[in-house]
Amino acid sequence: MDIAACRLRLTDHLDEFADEYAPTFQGAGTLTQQLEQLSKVKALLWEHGFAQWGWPERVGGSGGPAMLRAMVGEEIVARDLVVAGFFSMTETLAPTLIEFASPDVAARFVPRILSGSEMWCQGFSEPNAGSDLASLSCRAVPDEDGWVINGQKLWTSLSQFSQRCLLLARTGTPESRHRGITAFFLDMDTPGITVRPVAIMSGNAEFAEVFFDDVAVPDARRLGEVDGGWSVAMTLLPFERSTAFWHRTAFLWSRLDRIVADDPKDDRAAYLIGEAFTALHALRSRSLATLQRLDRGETLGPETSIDKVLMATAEQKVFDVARTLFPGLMETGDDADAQQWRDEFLYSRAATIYGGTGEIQRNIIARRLLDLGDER
Amino acid sequence: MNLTPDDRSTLAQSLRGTLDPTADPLDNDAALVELGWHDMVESGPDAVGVVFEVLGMTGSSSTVLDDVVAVAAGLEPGSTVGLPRWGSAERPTTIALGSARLDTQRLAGLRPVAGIDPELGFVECDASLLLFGDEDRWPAVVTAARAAIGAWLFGMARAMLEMARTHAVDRTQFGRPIGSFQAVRHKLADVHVAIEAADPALAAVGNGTLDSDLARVLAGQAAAVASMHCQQILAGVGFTEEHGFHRYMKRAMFVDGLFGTTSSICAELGRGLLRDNSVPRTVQLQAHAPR
Repeated sequence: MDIAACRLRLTDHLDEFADEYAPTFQGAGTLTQQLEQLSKVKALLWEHGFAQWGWPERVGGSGGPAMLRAMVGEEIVARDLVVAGFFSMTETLAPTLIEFASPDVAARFVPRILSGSEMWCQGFSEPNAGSDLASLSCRAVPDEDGWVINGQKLWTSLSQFSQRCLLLARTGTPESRHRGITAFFLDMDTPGITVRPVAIMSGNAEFAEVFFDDVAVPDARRLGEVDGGWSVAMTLLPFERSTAFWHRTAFLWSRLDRIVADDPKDDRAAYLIGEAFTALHALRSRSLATLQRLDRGETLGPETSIDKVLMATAEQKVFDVARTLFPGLMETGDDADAQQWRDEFLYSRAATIYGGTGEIQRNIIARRLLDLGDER
Repeated sequence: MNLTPDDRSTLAQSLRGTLDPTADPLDNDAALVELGWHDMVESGPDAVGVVFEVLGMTGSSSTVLDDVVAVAAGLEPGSTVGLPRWGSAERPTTIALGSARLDTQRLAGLRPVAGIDPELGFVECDASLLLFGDEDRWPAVVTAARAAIGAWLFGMARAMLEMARTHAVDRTQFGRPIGSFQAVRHKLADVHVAIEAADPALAAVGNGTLDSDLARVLAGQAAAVASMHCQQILAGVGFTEEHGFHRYMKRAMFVDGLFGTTSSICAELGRGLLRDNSVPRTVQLQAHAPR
């Protein structure tokens, strides 16, 4: 399929149905408004056949390369129709199901994710397993009907709004690290699950802690092999760092558009805008090369840590520049525009934290790409 | 002309065997001409990029930037052209920079520029002594020159990283290689990221001014990060003349001012966006890489 031709079909559609796609609120909106908008946009894209582009036919898609998904997300995000990070969660969840769930389970659940009829969350991080994910301790013990889960997850985005959770649990000995982890997906309304929303520093309760107290899960809800959960988690990564990153570059580009459109009267404006533009260009060039490698069927590995560093750098740069060139807006503004810049600035501080911290990425680059041997 | 990755590495390999870091610029020029430089410089930015990257990596001196300028200005390769004064991208009308092609023995009114990198053999002189080509070709001259300079700085950054990486592996303190310390590893990782950030931008350089400027800025940033961090990792030995590092660092400082500096081009880019009130989508989704 020709990407440019597909893009034209999509943009014609988005122009024609602009009123239906448009948010009903001004600025960033509340979290609830954002999620309603997300479901609405995904449902419309599904109804008109665009959400299916780039997904395999056996899970309800209409086939074609993953690059089509990169393009669809780019157009949706560039029009500011959805929060990029929420929209792109599909890019990590659906490929995991396609790869590791049985064919009928994948065919049943993937369309629900694509069409926005269900929200899914990822139960990976724990209070004592952040950067060191392989040390996670939430436990799954086999019983005659399947598995029983006990433990706690944290930083579980949108879990209070989710119907299902993709969970990593310890099935080996506490010392087994990445060799003793198994992946499951479970229904969030299963008895024994308690969700406590956690507000991030912008005030939005986007995360939650999730407690599991003797939660029963059938073995049919296991993803991949017993003790094979690490490779399930690693399958997510290439998609987070290809299609989902491409969506995020569109978001950052649209924010630089806004800065430029404001024509800030500041001696530093030209230089700072040039710097942010250069960082975005580096990110997009790198991200395109990564998408092209994925398109050729290459396996993505540690070199995507460079993409992650460039993403975090560009994101923080764009919002640092906005803060410098719009003095007082984030600090003293109270209208919808100021609120949105403030929220997005604050969120950008997490760019060097989530998905592997900046320090973890540099550790990977040093060991795997520069061949500096082990740290001691 | 587009080179395949194989073409590029074959060319880079023969350039490495040809260029001599201890030779005078004019001797390296002669060796490049024998290798077919005049055809390469007329064939477009691809081969020119490889030549300048290897010039940077090997730390070799040459005046072949003159030929890049000459071709873009509509002059013959081998012409004795003029370059803007250090830090500027304006077409010179009074004082210009000239290369080692100018015979300092025979022409009056030349000031040899020793400066921080005397090996390059630049001179300052009256612009009337030099050729610039048609005035309306000047934007094309700047574009072509910046693409070449970007590749040159990129090559220097790569060489500096390799020196520092080798040092971090070989140098032992506190009973272990200094490359096992996270503080050192993260600096090297940052240099590597800066280099990798410039790489696809340089590969995408065609004849467009914007692509050339962006690639040049990213390469300049890579050279700056490499100069700072690699110097620190090479520490005591990298501060001496006995280690090769200083030649690269000083050359990167000098070359950064040819046809504008990294920061002046950055500001130029920003002024362009503000003037047009738009941020061009410089990279579009496409299935196949340009190289």
